[in-house]
Amino acid sequence: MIDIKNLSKKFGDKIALDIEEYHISPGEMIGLVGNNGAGKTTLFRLMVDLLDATTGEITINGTKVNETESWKDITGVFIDKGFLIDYLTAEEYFYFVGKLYGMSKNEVDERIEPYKSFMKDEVLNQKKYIRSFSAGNAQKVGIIAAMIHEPKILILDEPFNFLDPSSQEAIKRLLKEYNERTGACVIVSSHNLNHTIDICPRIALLEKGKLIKDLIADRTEITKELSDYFSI
Amino acid sequence: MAINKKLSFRELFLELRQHSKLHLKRHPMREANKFSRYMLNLGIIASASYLIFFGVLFGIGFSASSNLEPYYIMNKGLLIVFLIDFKLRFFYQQLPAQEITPYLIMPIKRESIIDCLLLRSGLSAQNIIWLFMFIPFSLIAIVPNHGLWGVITYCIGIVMISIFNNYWYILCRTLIKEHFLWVFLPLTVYLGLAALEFIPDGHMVSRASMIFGQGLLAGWFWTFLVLIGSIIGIVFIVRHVISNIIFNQSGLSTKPEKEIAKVRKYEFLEKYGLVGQYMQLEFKLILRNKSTRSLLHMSFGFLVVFTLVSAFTTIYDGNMSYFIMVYNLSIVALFLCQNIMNFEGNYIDCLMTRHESILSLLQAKYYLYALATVIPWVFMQILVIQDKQPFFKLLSISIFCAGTLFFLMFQLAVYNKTTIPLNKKIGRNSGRGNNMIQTITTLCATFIPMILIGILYSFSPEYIANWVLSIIGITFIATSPYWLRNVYKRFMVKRYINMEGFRDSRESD
Repeated sequence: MIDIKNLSKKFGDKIALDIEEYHISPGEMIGLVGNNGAGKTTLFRLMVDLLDATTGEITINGTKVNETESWKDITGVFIDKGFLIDYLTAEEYFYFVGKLYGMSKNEVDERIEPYKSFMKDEVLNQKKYIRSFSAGNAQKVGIIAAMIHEPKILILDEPFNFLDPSSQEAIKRLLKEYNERTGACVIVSSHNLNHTIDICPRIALLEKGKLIKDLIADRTEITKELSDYFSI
Repeated sequence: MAINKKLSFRELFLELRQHSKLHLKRHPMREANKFSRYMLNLGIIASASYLIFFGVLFGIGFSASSNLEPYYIMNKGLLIVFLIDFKLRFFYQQLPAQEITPYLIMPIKRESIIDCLLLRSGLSAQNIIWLFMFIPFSLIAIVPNHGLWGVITYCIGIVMISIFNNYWYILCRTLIKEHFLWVFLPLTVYLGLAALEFIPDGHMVSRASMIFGQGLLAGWFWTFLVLIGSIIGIVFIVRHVISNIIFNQSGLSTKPEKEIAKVRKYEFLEKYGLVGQYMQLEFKLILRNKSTRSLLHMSFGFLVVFTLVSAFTTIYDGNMSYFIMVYNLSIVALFLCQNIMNFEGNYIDCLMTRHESILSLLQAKYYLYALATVIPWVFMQILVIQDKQPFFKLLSISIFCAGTLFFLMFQLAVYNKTTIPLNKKIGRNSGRGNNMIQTITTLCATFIPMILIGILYSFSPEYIANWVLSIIGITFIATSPYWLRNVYKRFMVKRYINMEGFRDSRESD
């Protein structure tokens, strides 16, 4: 599904990312972990063609992401507020994004129905633009909008950020259900190791731009490996 | 003034001044556009030259046109000068309250911060700008009767009035920011002065202003005493207003937006598919954000003024009429087009991760802006009614503008790569027109059509010129799908550079 080959990204002289090879199969749930500056967001931006790679390539279903746009129809992504049109209400934003994928308002309404408890009556029917939302509620809007067209690949950068504990639990449950129901490949990055391990059977550990570990094992082993790595 | 325990007032003042300089120097848009610095300097030189020119013109002109000494006439109009000064400050002057927030949690007395910022504002070079006009004027008009000493006292007085005006502006703007109804404060003052001038006999205000000005150039002690008293008084009021209203209420933090009374959806555009969806987005972009709304208001303001002046005076007759027609017909779109993609920089990632969304966005923008030409065209029918312009001439120039001018302006979509904050009023550092390609394209888009139109009407019969312009315009309109796709393709080639620019210049919350 996603293939990374000889991928590198330099900012000036600094190497932000350098991955020789990495393959992600359909239906996988992958957690990307690493300290600040490890290259998680850079990798996400390269995956969705928001940055140009210094060398190498990323392909989705065999097509290079920087050469075609067809992969955009099967990909959902939320990285930061640069994905939010903040002068729209949450409903308007969902309808707008839905329309970009050819969905009618009714279809969008149906799609957001399962997320209503996650939004907790704080997002819909608020008569407020997104810019007036709390960071947590704006984050929820971004995550739901990325999932609205049921993409085959879902990429979320730090989805647990800004969310209260109950919403963090809710998003974990929603992501797992989504993966099981649609068979989509879900890739999340997070500083919260517990949450990441809870939902992702496969963990990629980045350090200074290098992929130093690709952990596919049982939860206990992964927890131990990561605890050893992150303990100072 | 209150002195902080750790920093002396002088140290605090110097520190805050340094921060302000760094804020301007390191602003992402300034760093992104070196050209802006040249444009800013050019703007300052041009403004200074204008003021010098007017100073000389008034000095010579007033003496030639009246029996009164030129400075009597100038002094009569001092209030008009400082009304203009007051109005201009809205475009470039920041409020101290906007700078206070970062210092609130620091161990510095709030009053000390206000005092420092108010003092800095009073000492700002912006308060001596008018000397460029008053020095040459005084050298011509005052030296013969009052000598060089008269020039010195007069100019000191002018600077003091400027300083007073500076605080008057801060007071009004701070209050208006707090509640829109405070706009009636300056309105009442200026209308009251106008009423005093025009309703009773004797032109009370201009006479008083003339006597006061005479006091300044003659060095009368009481005039300076009045000025010093007024400045101290208004500083006291401003200080009181800022500490009480701004601190105690909500002016310092991001004010939560009020609940929207009615969410306008522009659903009539739904039937036009994806392009219609982007047209809705464009409507919402323009009407829901302060930056775009202020551009819209400004452009409509210019449209109304230019049209009325052209319709009811002879100032813009002759070749200037072409400029006014082109400018008016395209002004709304010009203002918005100049910043094409700059506003979208705020959510460029959203657009770039969706299939061909930039193409649909460009199409929507073009159709909307081209249709928007109808508004000035309708308004400019006043010129037709006033027999200033024939109907078909105005129509053909409109069609020409809707095609050609936008073709030129849309090229900017490839080159604009700085983000303009959406919900802030356009002012200094807003990024408007501070990129070289942006400025050159805007000038070309305004002047090339104007020159072409001028040549056509000068060297060919009017009906032929009308047809030629219409055909050129229709050609560009009809071929818009092709040239818009070309713009889109070129944008995609430059996408990484542009996205990096948008991200780097995006302001953090």
